[in-house]
Amino acid sequence: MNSYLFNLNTHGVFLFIASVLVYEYFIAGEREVFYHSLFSIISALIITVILKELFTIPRPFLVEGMAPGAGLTQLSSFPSTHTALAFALASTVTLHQKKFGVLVFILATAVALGRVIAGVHYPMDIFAGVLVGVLCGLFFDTIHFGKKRAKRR
Amino acid sequence: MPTKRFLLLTPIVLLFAAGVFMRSATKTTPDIACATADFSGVPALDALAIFEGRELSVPTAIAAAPSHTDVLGVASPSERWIEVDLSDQKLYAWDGSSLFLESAISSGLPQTPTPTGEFRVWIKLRATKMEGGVGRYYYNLPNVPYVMFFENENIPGWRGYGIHGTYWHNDFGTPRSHGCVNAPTKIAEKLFYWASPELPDGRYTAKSTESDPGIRVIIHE
Repeated sequence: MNSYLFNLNTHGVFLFIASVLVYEYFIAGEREVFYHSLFSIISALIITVILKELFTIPRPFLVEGMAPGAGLTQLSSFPSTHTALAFALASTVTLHQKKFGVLVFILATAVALGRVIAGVHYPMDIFAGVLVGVLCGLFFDTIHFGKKRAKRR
Repeated sequence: MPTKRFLLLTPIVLLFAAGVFMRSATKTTPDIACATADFSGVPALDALAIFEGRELSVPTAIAAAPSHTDVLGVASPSERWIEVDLSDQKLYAWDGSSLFLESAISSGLPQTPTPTGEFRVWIKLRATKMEGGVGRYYYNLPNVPYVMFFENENIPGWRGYGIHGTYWHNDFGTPRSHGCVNAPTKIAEKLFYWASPELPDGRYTAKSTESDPGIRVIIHE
C-alpha cells in the first residue's frame, strides 16, 4: 500500500496527464484542447526545470530529516514541476470545457497536495508551480496559433 | 494590440530574473560530497565537531601522529589498488593479487550516493575540516583523519569524493555518508601510508604527480 501511494505520488501526474490527453484527442475529439495542453505542459516543464536550476533550494525532507514520501529528482525544491504540469493541463482544459475542467482542477490540486504531504515540496513551491502552469495555459490559449478557434463550452 | 498577449509572461520573466539574482547572490556548492576548502592537511588543535545536530569532541591525536612511510617502496606501488564494494559495504586493499587488508566501510546514503567507476587518488591529506549539509544534516567535522580524495574524467576532484577515517560514527557496514567512503580510522591510517602518492617525511599533504601517480580506486555495486 505504501509503495503504491509512493508510486502514485511520483508518476500519478503522468498517468493523469496522459489519460486526459487521450480523452481529449480520441474520445472528445477536442483537438484544440489537446494541442494547447500539450504545448503548455511542455513549456511549463522547460520553465520549471530552468527555475529549479536557478533556485538551489533543498527539499523539505532533507532539512527536516524525514524519509521522502514520493520520488524526486536531485534538482532544487523550487518550483514544483509536478504542480506546474498538472495546472498547465487543468487551466487549458478549463478554458474550453468548464465542467470537465473542474474535475481536472480537483485532480491537479490532489497532485499538488500529495507533493507537500510527501515532504518533497514546500507550499511556496506549489504556488510557483501553479503560477507557471496557469500562465502557460493562458499564454497558449491567448496566442492560439493555427486554425480557426473552436467553440467554447 | 497583439503584443499585449505577451504581457502574460511577465510573472514568469520576473521569476526567472529573481532566480538569476538568487543564483548569483548565493555561494553555491553543487553536489560536493565531503566538502573541504582546506588542502593544507594540517590538523587543528582546538575544535568542536557538529554532526547530525550533536556536538562531538574532536580527536587531536592525529596532530601528534608521526609521519611514516615505512610500508611504501616495498613492492611496486603501481600494482596496488583499492576495491570498494558498495552492496557489501566492504573495502579491500589489493597488492597485485594478494589481499593487504579488508574492512567494513560506510558509503553514501541513497540521496548522496558514492559514484562508481575507476578512480585515482589525486591528493592525500593527513587531516582536514569537512563542512556541509543543510538543516538537520549540517556537519562541521574538523580533523577528519587520513583523507584520500579520488577523481576520474567524469567526477572531477573538486566534487570532493574520497576515502577517509571516521570518528563521528561507528556504523561501518551500512551507508552513512554524504558520498565519501567512511573507513575506520585505523584502517584509513594503514591505507594512507600504504597507498601512493608517497607522503614526504614531515609533510601533511601529498599530491599525485606523473612519476608518483595516485593509487587506483575501483568502486562497484
